Amino acid sequence: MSQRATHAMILLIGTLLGLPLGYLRAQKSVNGGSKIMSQWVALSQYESLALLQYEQSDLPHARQALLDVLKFLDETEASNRVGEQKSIDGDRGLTYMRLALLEQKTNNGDLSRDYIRKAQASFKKCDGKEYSDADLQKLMIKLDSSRSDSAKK
Amino acid sequence: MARRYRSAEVNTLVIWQPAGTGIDFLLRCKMRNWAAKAVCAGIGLALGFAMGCALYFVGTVSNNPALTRAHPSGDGFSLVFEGAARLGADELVAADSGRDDENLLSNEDEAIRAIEAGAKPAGLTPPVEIARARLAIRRAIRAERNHDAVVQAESDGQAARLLQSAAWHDTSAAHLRALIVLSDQQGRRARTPGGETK
Repeated sequence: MSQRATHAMILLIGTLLGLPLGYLRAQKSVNGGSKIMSQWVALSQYESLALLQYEQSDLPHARQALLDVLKFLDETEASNRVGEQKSIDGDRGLTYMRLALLEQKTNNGDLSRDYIRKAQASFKKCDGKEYSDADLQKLMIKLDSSRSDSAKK
Repeated sequence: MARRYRSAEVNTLVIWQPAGTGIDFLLRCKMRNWAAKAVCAGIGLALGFAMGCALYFVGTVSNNPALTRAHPSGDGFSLVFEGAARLGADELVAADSGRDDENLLSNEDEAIRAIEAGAKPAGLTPPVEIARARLAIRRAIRAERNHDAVVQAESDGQAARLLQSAAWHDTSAAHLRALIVLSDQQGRRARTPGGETK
């Protein structure tokens, strides 16, 4: 084999070895970001539609929209599309709290307390902190009233 | 004048320095065989590494529902998830740039259809009427700007009907329009450094 052919062969072998290395390196650095972006865009869109329904429609439709968000979050986890687990847990906690407030309005005290417990568990999973019922209710009232205030303006 | 160097590492190195410039140009580098092989292997590895990165990046971008046009496929939940991601990305563009051309709106329409198609098999019931009503309002806003009263009235009417079926307290198109304008403003403020609207 001529010297030129030997060098071409070495170049080719180097390229073939470098290809999977580059692919794996990119996979490690890009994959997480891409997943987080997809999750963020899909979840925020799904939740914003459900939130509009929660704020603007009657009680059965509002409840249905929130329960559907919980199902969407479960499916996102089950289908391995989670980019950031904390944001899933946080969103789940907020949804449970909205359901709890909704059930409070209809005097479903037991169901409301059950949702609050689930919200506390989700927030604990999210940031490791224990929130009391009162803290969470205050937080939700503040969050949702600031949304409705800006809508009225 | 070209100078010729010899060393233990390099067989022949020919350098040319144009008269009076003081700058050296490498004309020819004839390396020892093992050095040439090492350089070839290094170049090959670097080339392969770059190609591997590019290959992965192109594949990821083309499969990311938020970055490419919606061609959702797969099972029910994949359709819903990818449709929602595409719809979210289109809404970001519409809110941030005020863009509402037919291309963008038909992309939104396609994404909503993907969500609808996947919802039942996935056992989900997303409020698709709201997404459709919002799309109708964006069409009405564009029609108003183009002084097309007929399309505007049709789109407003469609939005109101959809809000009725979603059991809203206020089913007027004007109400949803106000919510969309406000949400676009808030989104722009949140995504602009310093919190200023564009």
